[in-house]
Formats: sequence, C-alpha cells, structure tokens
Amino acid sequence: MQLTSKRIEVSDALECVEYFYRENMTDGLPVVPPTEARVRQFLDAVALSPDARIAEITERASLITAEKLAINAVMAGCLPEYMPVLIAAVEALADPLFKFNHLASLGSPWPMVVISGPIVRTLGMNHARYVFGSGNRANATIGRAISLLLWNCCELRPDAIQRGDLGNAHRYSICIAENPDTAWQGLNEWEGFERTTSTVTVSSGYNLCNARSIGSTPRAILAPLINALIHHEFSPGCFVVTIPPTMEKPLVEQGWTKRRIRDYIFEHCRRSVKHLKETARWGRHASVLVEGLKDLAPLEPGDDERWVYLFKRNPELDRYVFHEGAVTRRADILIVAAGGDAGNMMGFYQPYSQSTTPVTKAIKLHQTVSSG
Amino acid sequence: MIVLDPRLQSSARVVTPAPRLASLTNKRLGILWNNRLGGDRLLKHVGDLLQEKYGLAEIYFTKKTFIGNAAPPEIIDDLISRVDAVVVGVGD
Repeated sequence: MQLTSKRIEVSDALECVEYFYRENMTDGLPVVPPTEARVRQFLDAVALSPDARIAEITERASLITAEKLAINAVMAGCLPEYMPVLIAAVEALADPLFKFNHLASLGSPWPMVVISGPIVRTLGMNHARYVFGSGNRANATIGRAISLLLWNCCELRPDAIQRGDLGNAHRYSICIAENPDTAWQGLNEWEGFERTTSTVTVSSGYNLCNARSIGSTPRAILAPLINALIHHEFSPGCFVVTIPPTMEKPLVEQGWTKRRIRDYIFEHCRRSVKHLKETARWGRHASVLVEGLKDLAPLEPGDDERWVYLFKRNPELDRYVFHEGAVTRRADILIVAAGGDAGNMMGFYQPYSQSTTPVTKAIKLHQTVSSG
Repeated sequence: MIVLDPRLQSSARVVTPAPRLASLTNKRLGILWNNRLGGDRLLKHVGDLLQEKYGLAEIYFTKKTFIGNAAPPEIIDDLISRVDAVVVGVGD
C-alpha cells in the first residue's frame, strides 16, 4: 500500500535536518531523515499497513495512523522493534482517562512513559543507574518519538495549543523501565496484567523529584520520601515512585510489599491546616476560593492539630486545599523497581495537579514479525 | 533524497462544525464551564453581554467536571436537547 504523507525532496540528510527546522517539524534537536525505505521497515516490524488506525485522540481530532507514528519514530532515532511499545503508548495517551487536553496547561505537564515486563530485557532498556537518562537508546528514543508525534500530529507545540509558563525539560523525552527481575510484583501486575505481559504506562506530571534516604528500617527508608511527597504540589493523584534495588532488598526482607508501602504512605502524607495557611495553600487552588484573601489566610486556634491528608479524604477541609478534579480521580502510588545499585536515591514524578490519571496498556508482541 | 512529512494532513482531522445560526436573538444559549476556578464568573459575564446585545430567549449554565478532556456524551446530549447554541472554551 502507498504511503500517503507529503513527499519532500532534499539533497542530503543535512538539508533534511535544516528543512525540518524551518518547517517547525522538530523539537529543537536534529532528526533522522524519515525516508520511505526506513519508514517501511518500521511498518513491516509490526505487520501494519500505512493507514492502519493506531488511535484517535478525540480531544485534538487527531487520528494517528501507523504511517505517522512510524515517520516520527524514525525521526526520533528509534529502531523498528520499538514499534509495539510506541503503539501501546499512543493507545494509552488516547484513552479518555488520560484527559489529553491537560497537556496544554500553563503548568507544563508532560507524560512520562514507564515500561514494565519482559520486553525491558528484550530491548535492552535501562532500569538501573541513570534510569531517567541519558544514554540508553530505547529509553531515549521511545520517549522522544512520543514527543515528536504529539508535536507534529496533536498541536502540542508552544506556537499552537501548549501554553506552559515554564515548559518542561522532560518534554524532549522521558521514558524509564522497571527491573524485570524485581522481587516485588511488577508495575504490569499492579495494573492488572500478567507478569509475562509487557506494558506501557503513561503518567502525566511536572518533574522528577528525588528523596535521599540512608535508613535501613522501612519507616526510616520511607520517611524522606513522605517528606518530599507532601512538600511539592500537595495534590492528590497517582505518583510514580522509583525505588532502587539497594532499598528494595531491605524492604522485601522485612516483609514490605508494594501494597504495604503504598498503604503506609497513604497513612502518613499529611499537612496541618496551620502549615497550609502559612504556605499560601489554603483557599487558593481549590474548589473553594476564599473571598478577599490577598495575603495569607488568618490562623485560628487548633489549626496546628487539624490535618489535611494527601490520600485520605475529608471533604470539609479538602475543599479549601484541593481541586474537585484532583480529589475525584484515582489516587495511588505506582512503585517502579528502578534505579542505581550503589546509592540511596528514590525518585518520584510529581503528578499534574488535577484531572489526569495514568493509563496502562499491554504491548501486543504478536504484531511483531521481524525487525531484520 | 525523498523524505516524508511527519505532520497530520488537514484532511486527517475529523472536525465537522455545527451549522451556524443566523442570529442569537430569541435563541436559547448554553454555557459550558470547564470547572476552572474563576471561569464561571467570566462565562456568566459573557452570557450577560450576549443577553444585552442580542436578547436571548434563555441562558442555560452547566459545567463539566474536568478541563482536560471533551465533555461526556450525557452533557452533550443535555445541551443538544435544551439549547440552540453553546459558548465553550478552554483556558484559565
């Protein structure tokens, strides 16, 4: 079947790069020239015709075909065998639960891609030291392919609908992998799939935050993480948390499953009303706008003993602190076994303040025929 | 060297605009608030201005829960059954 994209004649690869800059078809970095032969290799890898429908992103009225996905994947520097991962990622982005249009927000949120399951080993993805980059081809280019696709096919550009005040350093690429040999259940299993099923999770957030811990008991390990979780955006939602093998081992040995860790974090993430007022988080970003509040909200007796929980609901207090879209969405801790083997660094991706939830899709490996 | 354009062609976008009204006079106007803080005040003011300028039959104000995606079918159906035109927008 014919490829239907507009054909552009250029003298060589360098002119191609310059042309793509001029036409605003790249993210600011050079691209691999998407020749027809190369694009066909990507389509052949998943045995799809160019017009095969991958997903429709309804909010942008954008129908993503295999051809457009393949072109942007080539540009990003992907290998053909990454296509099944990219297909699942696009399916996740198009899911109504993801609420695509929030990516236009002035907060500059961006979807992180998390890969879990045996395909991590197959593609040689990095789940260990420097997991958030740079250096691994699959991690780097899968994230960038998503970035370029949304740039070119969904109007997510600063000159179009993307209205972020600061932008986002992860906008170029953010894709991590989970250790497929983790002693815990994998993220794929946490999200309802078999351990043998590889999955893609997309989770929209602002930035990578770290939490350093040198504790050896579970409570000591998790205390700095809890401190970090409550002192960023303080908005309910799904947090992707990476825990490295050096911390996974003592936690597992002391009987702490992902669920037990999640429940412990849920119980302990809280801030007092006093602290929320002193840090201008009362009556400002919530369902209730406190009228006339041009300075800090006045303290009242007992504010230091009234607690607002990040993951436990109390509508009486919540409405002064959280937006309706945040308290009504899924709240969870998506633990990903990943990180370096020498240190003490946990990480988490600060979720967008409202409305979106992570979406996980299975990677359909049966589509793959041969990568050549 | 021939390379391929990575952008969606405009024909790939499946947008069918609703028929335009000739006038808003005596028409029922829907206002769909995206639930962002302060947007309700702005949109009510827009409704007042349109009422003053065109003489609407009525204004029906409603909201969706989240800014981040399209209104669900039940809200769309409700608006279709009640009004002739809708003011809707995304922003802060």
